[in-house]
Amino acid sequence: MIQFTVYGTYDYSCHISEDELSIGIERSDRYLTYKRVCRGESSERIIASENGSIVINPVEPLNLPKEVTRYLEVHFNPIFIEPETTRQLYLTFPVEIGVFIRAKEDYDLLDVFSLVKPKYSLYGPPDYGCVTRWHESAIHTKVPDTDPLREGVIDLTVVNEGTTWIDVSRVVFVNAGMTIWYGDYVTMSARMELFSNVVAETRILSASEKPGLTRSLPAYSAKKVSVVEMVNQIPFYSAKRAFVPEKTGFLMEFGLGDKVADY
Amino acid sequence: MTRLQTTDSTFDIASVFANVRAYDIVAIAVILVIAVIIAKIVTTFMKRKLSDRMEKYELNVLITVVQWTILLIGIVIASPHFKIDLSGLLVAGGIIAVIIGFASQSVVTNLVSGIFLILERPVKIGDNICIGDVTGNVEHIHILSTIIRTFEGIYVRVPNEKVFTSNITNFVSNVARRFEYRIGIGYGADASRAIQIIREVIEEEPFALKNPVPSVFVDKLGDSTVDLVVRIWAPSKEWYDLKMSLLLKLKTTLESNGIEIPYPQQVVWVHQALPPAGACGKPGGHEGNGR
Repeated sequence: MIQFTVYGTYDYSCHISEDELSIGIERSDRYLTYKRVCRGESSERIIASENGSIVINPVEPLNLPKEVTRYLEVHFNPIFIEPETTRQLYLTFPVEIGVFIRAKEDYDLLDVFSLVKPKYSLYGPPDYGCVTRWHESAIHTKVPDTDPLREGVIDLTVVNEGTTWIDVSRVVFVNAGMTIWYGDYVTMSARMELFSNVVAETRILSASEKPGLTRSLPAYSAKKVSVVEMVNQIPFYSAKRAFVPEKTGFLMEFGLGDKVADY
Repeated sequence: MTRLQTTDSTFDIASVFANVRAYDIVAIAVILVIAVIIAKIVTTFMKRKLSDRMEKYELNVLITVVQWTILLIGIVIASPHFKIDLSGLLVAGGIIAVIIGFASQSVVTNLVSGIFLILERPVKIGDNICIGDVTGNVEHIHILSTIIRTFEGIYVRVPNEKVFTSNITNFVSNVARRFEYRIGIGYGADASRAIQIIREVIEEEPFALKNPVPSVFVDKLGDSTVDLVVRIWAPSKEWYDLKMSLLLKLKTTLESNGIEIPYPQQVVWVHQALPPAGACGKPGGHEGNGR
């Protein structure tokens, strides 16, 4: 399953060119110019730096074309889960590629792009539901072959704690704690606990080490730092942000199957 | 016990404190300490609940007013222990309160409405709303008024009383909303193919939501067109941009696939061929009709 991948850490002399993708840094007298072309779309940033590096890795697929949600929804063919059992599934998720600039132990997001066309959906009713980044996946029983520049693999543990069969065809994750690993393939581990036919809790398992794989720098945290800095003017708000741990699980309370509410 | 009348011109402060006992001093101290503690608790609660809903300086003003009100109530409760007869003062205070009440009726109404707006939160800063005949984005929610910037960039100040008592349409309160197009295609065009093309164009749009599923259907057989209705759900923050851009894409894609979007037109059937040029004396076969 080893394929060419652009992921990794580079110095300022890097030039990468793949089918529909080219990334490079040009040095002028006093500045560096980052240039990227992906599927005909280009991006250019001027960098004032001498000693730093560029990190390219997969990030949470929630940034394009612009950030409108914190939720990723993966839809798949319905699967019946036996009562009081645990099953291991492999699903795919869309990959967005983040380019970070790093110097002196600090990093920031320089660019995000994707070779996959994004699509959004709504989970739940329009008033209380949430907009989600939508992805259709097949169900796999082992790690599927994927193009790491386009798709990652969700290693999903589904636990049916109830005493009835449960029909599942979608899973929704929140981006908080969404840890992505990369190497020969891109992956993240998740757990879904089914409580009934309509309620489940999902969680990305950020702590589980993946042998031979590297942990991605998250785009979400890079953005969040600036948000926290911005609200520092409001003491109580910033204190709340600093001391109250962010919720990393998501309660799916609007159904687990294809049945949607009547809007 | 000699009571001091506040209306007395000969006010003897020494005689007042001569009547105050140690018990009274303790009672006064306890009441004031309790008032201070209550004021502290209330202000802490207000800071927690309102710090992210109100402007900082407005919150400080509100907290100061609440603190002083609680302290004043504490002083009034403690006043019997001062051995002062406040009946005259209360009468005078009552009259002043009535005068101030009449004078500041609208201010108080707006203030109370503002507090309820902040607590109920039917609108938030940045929301796209319509109140009465004003439509625009909410810039600020002050204690007495709400500031709206219209789409033309005009500053509009709406008193909170009006905001509170008016019908408010909040265009972005829900996370998603639906919009609609009506597209008329020619009778000669394949309506099924047109529907398929429209579905494909919608599928390509990231913010045209997958669920609820967009609906495209023939709504009406019009005078000159077959009218298709296209209904699409989009994130509330993105629906307007999508609506603006998608219609042009639909038009160009339909036209590039040979689906005509015709002008209003009427087909006229002529039962008999027109006579050749110069033979205009017999129109429609009705000889001698003349013109």
